Amino acid sequence: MTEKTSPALPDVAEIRRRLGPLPSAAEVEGLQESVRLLGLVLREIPESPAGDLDPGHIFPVDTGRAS
Amino acid sequence: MSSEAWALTLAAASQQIAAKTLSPVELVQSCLERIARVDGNLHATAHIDAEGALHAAKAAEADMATGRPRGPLHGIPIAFKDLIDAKGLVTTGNSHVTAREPATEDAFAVAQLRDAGAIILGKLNTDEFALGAANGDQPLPPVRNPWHPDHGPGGSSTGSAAAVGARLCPAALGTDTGGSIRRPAAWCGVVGFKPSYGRVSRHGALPLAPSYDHIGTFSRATEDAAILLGAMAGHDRRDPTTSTRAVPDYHAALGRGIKGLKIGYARHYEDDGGPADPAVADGMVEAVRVLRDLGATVSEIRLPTPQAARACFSPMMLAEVYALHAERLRTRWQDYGRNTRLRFAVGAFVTGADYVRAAQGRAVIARAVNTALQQHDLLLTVTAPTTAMRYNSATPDDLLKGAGLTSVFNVSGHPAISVPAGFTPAGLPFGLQLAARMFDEATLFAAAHAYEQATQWAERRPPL
Repeated sequence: MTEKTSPALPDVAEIRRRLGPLPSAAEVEGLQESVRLLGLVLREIPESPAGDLDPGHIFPVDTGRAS
Repeated sequence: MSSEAWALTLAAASQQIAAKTLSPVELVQSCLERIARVDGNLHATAHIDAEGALHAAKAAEADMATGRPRGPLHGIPIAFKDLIDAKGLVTTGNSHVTAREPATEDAFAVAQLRDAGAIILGKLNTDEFALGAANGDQPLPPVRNPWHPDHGPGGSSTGSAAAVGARLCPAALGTDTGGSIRRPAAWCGVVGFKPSYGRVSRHGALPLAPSYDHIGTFSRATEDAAILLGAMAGHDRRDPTTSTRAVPDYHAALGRGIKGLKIGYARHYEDDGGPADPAVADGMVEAVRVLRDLGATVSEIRLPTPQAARACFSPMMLAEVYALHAERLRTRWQDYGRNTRLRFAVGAFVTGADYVRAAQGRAVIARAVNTALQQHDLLLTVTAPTTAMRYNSATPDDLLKGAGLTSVFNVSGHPAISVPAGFTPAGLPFGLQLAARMFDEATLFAAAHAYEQATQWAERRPPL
């Protein structure tokens, strides 16, 4: 079972490391808020009792076989 | 010459072309005149290929004259969200970062329509790469809603929804990753359809998040969507997610009606995504009455909440889009629109564990939808609990704050359609959403068509 955590809020250095120097200071601040919101969203992921990692179950791909 | 051929649905125009009471040239000219008259304020189009469309229309007319009709799409002008390749036309994605080279081949869906006799009218406006809500810093101006210029059309297939709503063309293609066809269709008073994942190839369309991306249709009638899917569906080796299942005759299924069908109604979506506009909630009560009068059994059910669907959808979608744009975001940050770059950049902070956990949750949701569809033939929800947002009002964080009622069927992959279900006192349209079992688009179309025939919402024209 994976731990149900929110992503750690990135600091300015971490945002610059991933995105480079071009985002403005205001944009970096906005991104921190967006990542915080993402953390709240992730809390709503439904539990998977089986912890199923079979990609055939995860992605809705049907190549013609009977379902 | 001026005619009101632009006001015809695809099927009605097709019947007139087959009867030789309307020529493809007259139809294309009528649409071009309508675009010239209306689109200056609407901004639904990206690039209209008037010369190419008229050339193709003349060829279609010649084929008709020599007894070589190609079927219901013969001579029908169709336009495409500017994420979808059409040979000879530039695909911009409404972004400054894309190359301005004409496509060397058609997207699979475009090629299928062209082979079936359709005429390529041109490209339509879109949110940048289907995610960056327009705010004036993208190449094309934001699209206005054909029903009220103070409102937007809904995204991301902004131009496709507005163009069909404004009667600039009888039908258009769009893409739907989390609701980008169905939501703007509801807000522009037209039919928006997303097929089963794997029913229509995405080859030749700019990807947003490949595990969620679908190509689908905008039209003024469900019958038109059935005609279009019949031409577009099928296996394509260049999109390995496409199914080899046989393509049924969707048009023939339209007359089946819905008598005896079981419909599970997730009324809680109006509260989960809300609060719902009172006129929209009243409209759903009336829609349920109509469906029951047509012979369906409608019972309330609970589906996975929109919040749960968003929780699986958002991290996966953001990670997939970031993977596609990471390098360009580092080097060409300012060339993306502000909403686009700030939305895409969030994907840099989705961890591998987040992605896997969201994917596991996705399987849980898909199973829950499948279970509901073992007990019911169709599922019913409101498409969106409110009407169109104010013009040019989107912010980067809207994506994470809103609870889209449509993404559940992108998460699960099931086919879904939004059909017009009413208007608010302010004159803004809204829609209802139906979903069906995987690859059972025939039942979906039969039900939507029956509802449409029993109501007149789709026949209203915007005041343009």
